[in-house]
Amino acid sequence: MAPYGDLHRVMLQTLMSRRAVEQETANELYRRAYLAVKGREFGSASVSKELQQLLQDLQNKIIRLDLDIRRFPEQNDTKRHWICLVNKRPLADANELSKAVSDLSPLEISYYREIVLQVVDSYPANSIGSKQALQTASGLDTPIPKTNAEALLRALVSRGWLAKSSRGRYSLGIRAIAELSDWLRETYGDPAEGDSILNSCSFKASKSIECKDLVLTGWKCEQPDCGAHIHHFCKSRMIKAKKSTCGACGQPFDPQAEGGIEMSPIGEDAVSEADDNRVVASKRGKKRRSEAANGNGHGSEEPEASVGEEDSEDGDEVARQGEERGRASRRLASQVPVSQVEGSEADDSQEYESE
Amino acid sequence: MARSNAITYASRRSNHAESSTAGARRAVQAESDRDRTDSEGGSASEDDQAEFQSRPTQGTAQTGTQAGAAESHQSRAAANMKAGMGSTAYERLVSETINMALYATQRRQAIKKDDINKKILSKKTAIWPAVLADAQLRLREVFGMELVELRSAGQGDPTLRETVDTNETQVQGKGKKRANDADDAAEAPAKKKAASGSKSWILRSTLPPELIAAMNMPNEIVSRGEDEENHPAIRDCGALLHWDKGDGIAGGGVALKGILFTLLALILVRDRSISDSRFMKELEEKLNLHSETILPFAAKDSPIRSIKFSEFLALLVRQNYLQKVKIQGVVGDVGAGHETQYEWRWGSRADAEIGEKAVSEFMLDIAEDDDAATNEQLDAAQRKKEKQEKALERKRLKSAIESAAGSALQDVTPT
Repeated sequence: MAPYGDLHRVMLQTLMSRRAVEQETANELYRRAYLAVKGREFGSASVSKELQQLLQDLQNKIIRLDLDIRRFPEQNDTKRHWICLVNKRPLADANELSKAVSDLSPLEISYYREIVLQVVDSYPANSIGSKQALQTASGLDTPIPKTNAEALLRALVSRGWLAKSSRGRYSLGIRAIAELSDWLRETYGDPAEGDSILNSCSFKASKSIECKDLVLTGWKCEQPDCGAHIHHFCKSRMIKAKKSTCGACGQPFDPQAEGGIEMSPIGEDAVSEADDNRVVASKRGKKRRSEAANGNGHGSEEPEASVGEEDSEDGDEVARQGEERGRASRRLASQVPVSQVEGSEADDSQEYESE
Repeated sequence: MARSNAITYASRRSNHAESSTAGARRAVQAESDRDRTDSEGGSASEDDQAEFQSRPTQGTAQTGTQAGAAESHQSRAAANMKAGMGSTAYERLVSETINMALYATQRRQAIKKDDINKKILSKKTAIWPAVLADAQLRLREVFGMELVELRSAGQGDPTLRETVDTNETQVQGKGKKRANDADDAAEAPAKKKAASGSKSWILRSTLPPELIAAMNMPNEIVSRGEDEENHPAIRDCGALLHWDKGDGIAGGGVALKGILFTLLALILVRDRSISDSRFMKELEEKLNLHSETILPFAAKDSPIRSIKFSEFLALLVRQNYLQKVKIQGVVGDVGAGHETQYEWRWGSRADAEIGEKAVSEFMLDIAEDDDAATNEQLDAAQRKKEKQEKALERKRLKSAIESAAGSALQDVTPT
């Protein structure tokens, strides 16, 4: 192991200026840092391995300063990984959000918090359309004008606090997942409610190797009494490890197999594109949770009467959900071969464990 | 209030520690072991002692051996206090100080002793010298950064030094004027504190300047996903220090940095201070910058798309890059009258973070760039000659800047 030196410090400053950096980009940055510090090109082929070693060294140094380095996959099935520098210091409550999102004004933070709340409530879509995001800005106690809200959303996406999909929906960004997961669980988590954005992944390869991260995009097992959630990514890992069964109920993923489970999509695939321009939570105000957010996501809940605009669409909802299911199964079928092909990502440790 | 916060905070932390992974605990253990070894090696060094006068011991067990560190009453008190404190509790103070500094840096703020007392030290303010020194050690070792105390409004201000240096060489009246200004400018509390510094600190890099320069070279990196239709490529400016993005606060746009350097340069070559009326007039006439001019704001991470020049100036004052100092109306000053007059000078952050030498290099680079285009048509001998001429010209310009500034240029504030 190379002694801790300027290469480490340069990479730490590199991470600090970005907070979240995608793995391939990080590899190239490492090469450049190496050249800048050592004055010669990085020779060895295994740049990810060297970088991983360096990140472990960094982690050993910073962990007692309430900082940590985490690496995890994007929740979409992009196979991209991100390296994030995160604050380990937990946030006590919603008001402490400003400690994490430190470079926003109080008004901007109140907007971000409201968007996060709506994303949480949008389960199973776990995302909101851009129209709804903008409407939220005008519904604040101190309304934010539309053009400012647009600029703010762009900045939040650029900084990784929000993600914007190709469909134009906003969901939690990579830094929100890295830094705010615990805060989200504590602030919005309600164990009595099964269906929420706050579901942990059911991936489990062994007693020590498991994924407990929030499932913002992925699948939900529709086996009665199960309802376990799993990331796209983790499901692929299960299949690769020849354990093509739900981590919770143990039934096979393949719906054609005996006892095979139906899975429904979690994330924006859970709602149709027609919904992207619909504003579903305009009456929320500052109410913390509303069961009725985005309709009866589960199919078994009764729609809340208080959200009037939802009621008239119930018929559509049900029909649409049937359609979504079908789509989900199709996706499932088409996804299997892709995930089996995947072989390069041998180690997908969620966190750098120091050995 | 602060106390109850501290208590809830502490309990939250201990919960957190319990829930952390075994791997993380092992890492912490390994780290503290290693540090103990480090400090055993390090405490023998006299140089280290000299560098950190109040340098505390690394392990509580070694307190007695640190005779040098205990010289001042202050640091002895700190060392005693530290010895009386659990090492975990003490570690927490150090890491909270570092965290506060990192947090403040993101917003271009300084950390202030008052805040540190209130939010971190609580009643243990006497331990500060030890905490500061340990935070410094760790920042330098781990981050390649250090805390530097900003000078207070009057203290170490180059405009004050200059009054002594230049009385002979400059127009008498002008030198006198500045001496008076300085007295008036340092407002009462600042005057008292002049000897003890501003009690506020900023973070700056301790990496070699060439390395920092290399870290700022952009060269876009494009990372393409497997499915570019749904997941567009990720573009990164490629500079290790992500200046076009990481600085999301107002004033972070890289074009604005150029304007800041230009303003600093203008002040530097005007004897390090320029009256408000003259400054504004020059900016307007020579650079077409009016108070209402809209400046572009390129930082992608910021929700602010543009900023008015007057707002930008106010921001630079808030961030301590510039200071606008109240002076008495002086005969001969443009627009002098009975109204209050103002004068622009470098702020303490500019001295600590940028330094006069860097600003003069900036000026030289700009002056030189003009002939770069013709260079390609020259043969080797001509090129060599050109190079020599350039070096000479640079030297000449540099001394011109120095004489315009009134005295030798200062590097960044030492720690």
